[in-house]
Amino acid sequence: MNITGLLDKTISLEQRVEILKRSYDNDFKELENLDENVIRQITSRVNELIRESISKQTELDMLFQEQNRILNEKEKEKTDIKNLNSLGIKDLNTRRNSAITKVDEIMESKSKVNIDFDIVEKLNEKKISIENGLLDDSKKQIEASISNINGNVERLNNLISKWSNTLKKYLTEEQNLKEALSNLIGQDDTPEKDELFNTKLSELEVVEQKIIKSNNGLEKYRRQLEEEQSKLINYEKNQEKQLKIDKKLEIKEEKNQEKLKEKREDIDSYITEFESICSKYELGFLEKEKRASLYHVLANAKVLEDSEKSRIFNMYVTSVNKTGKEIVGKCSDELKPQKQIPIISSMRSVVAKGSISTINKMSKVFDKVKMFGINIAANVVQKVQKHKEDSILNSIDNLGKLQEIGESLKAMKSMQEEGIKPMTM
Amino acid sequence: MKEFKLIIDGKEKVAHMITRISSDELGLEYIYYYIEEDGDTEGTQKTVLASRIKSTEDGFDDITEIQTEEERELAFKLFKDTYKNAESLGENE
Repeated sequence: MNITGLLDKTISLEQRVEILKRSYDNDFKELENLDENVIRQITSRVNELIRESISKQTELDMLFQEQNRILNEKEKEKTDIKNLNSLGIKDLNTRRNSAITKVDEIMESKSKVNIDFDIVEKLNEKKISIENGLLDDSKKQIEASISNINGNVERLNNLISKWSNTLKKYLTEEQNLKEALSNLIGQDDTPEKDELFNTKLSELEVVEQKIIKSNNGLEKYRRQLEEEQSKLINYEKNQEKQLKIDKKLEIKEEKNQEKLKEKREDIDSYITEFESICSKYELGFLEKEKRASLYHVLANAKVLEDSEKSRIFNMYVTSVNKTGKEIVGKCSDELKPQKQIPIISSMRSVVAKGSISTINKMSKVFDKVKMFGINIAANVVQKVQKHKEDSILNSIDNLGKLQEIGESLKAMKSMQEEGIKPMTM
Repeated sequence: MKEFKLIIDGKEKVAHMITRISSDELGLEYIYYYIEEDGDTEGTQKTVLASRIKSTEDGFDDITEIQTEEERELAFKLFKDTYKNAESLGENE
């Protein structure tokens, strides 16, 4: 009979009391059993918590130890960095200032030399051009005159030779006629003799006239020849003078060349110094403006050959590459017309590869930030700095949470030791 | 993208400008572009080319070929660094 039997009015009071008593005893036994289970569960949970607590405490102790070790290392690093910085910055600043001063000096000297050199070069060019022009004209005139005189002399010599032969012929004729006349004078006078004598005498007169004429002609040509020879002597003297002038100019030219050589050596020494500075301080060490302007001064110097300019430019590019530092430029999508179609070799110009859609995306990124220029780099630095700061703050938060867990575990352990049961279940 | 003509490997072609990047620090400016070909699609693989560019006082752009391997590396570095930073800035916005 169970407890519902209490409602049965046929059962006596004693029986009802007995039912109630049994029911109560059963309930009490169940309750007693239940309490033991709960107590076992609680005890088991408490033991578990104690083990966890001890484990967490050990973990926490290790974390504290690790934290202390890291903090000590950081402190040591800070001290090292501080010491290194004080040494390094001092050395770095000294070297940097030395480099900048040197560059200033070079640029100042270079600009002076450029100006002086330009003037000297222009003057020399002009002078040489004028002198060469004058000399050429003068030389040509003298040479033409000498050639003309030589032609005249030759012609006169021919004429004189011709007239001399003619004169000789007339003189021979004169001699023959005189001899004939002399022979006729010794003969008896006859009309034939008189006629022959008169004929020969007339012939002699004609020959003598011809001789006089020939002599005059010969004399005239001889005078002309003397005049021409005198002119020739004068021109030869002028030529000697000209040679002396040439020699003087040659000496001047040599001196000019020496000066040019000296200036060239100056430029070479600047290039060497520039190269040395680039190499020693890896270029990135110089201030931006100094570096760029020094390169431009040298690369655009008029006195430098194209090959030298090219050498400086390549040297500059090599130095920039060596620094390995980040180079951020300003983007632009402007494009002006070209005077002539550029000629390009693909082999030397390829810098990247990608599909047209990728390239279009890249182009949009560039467009988005165009004209922001170097500020981009500053933004990135700020971003990195903020990220670092956030990470540090997160670490501190996490440490705080760990400490809280540790404290609560410690409290639980302490309560356990004091026999206080936790308010669980 | 803006277009311009050029003679590449002896043939006249049309180039599409991607961007031009100037560096005050270097004192140099480069133009980056690719060459248009017949039948190009979005997926067509292209080479990005670079040349030195200089604006003249009389309002023209003078485009000249990169001369050495080292200069090509420099042009690539300028392109890469600027793009990397441009992309980071995009992410920040």
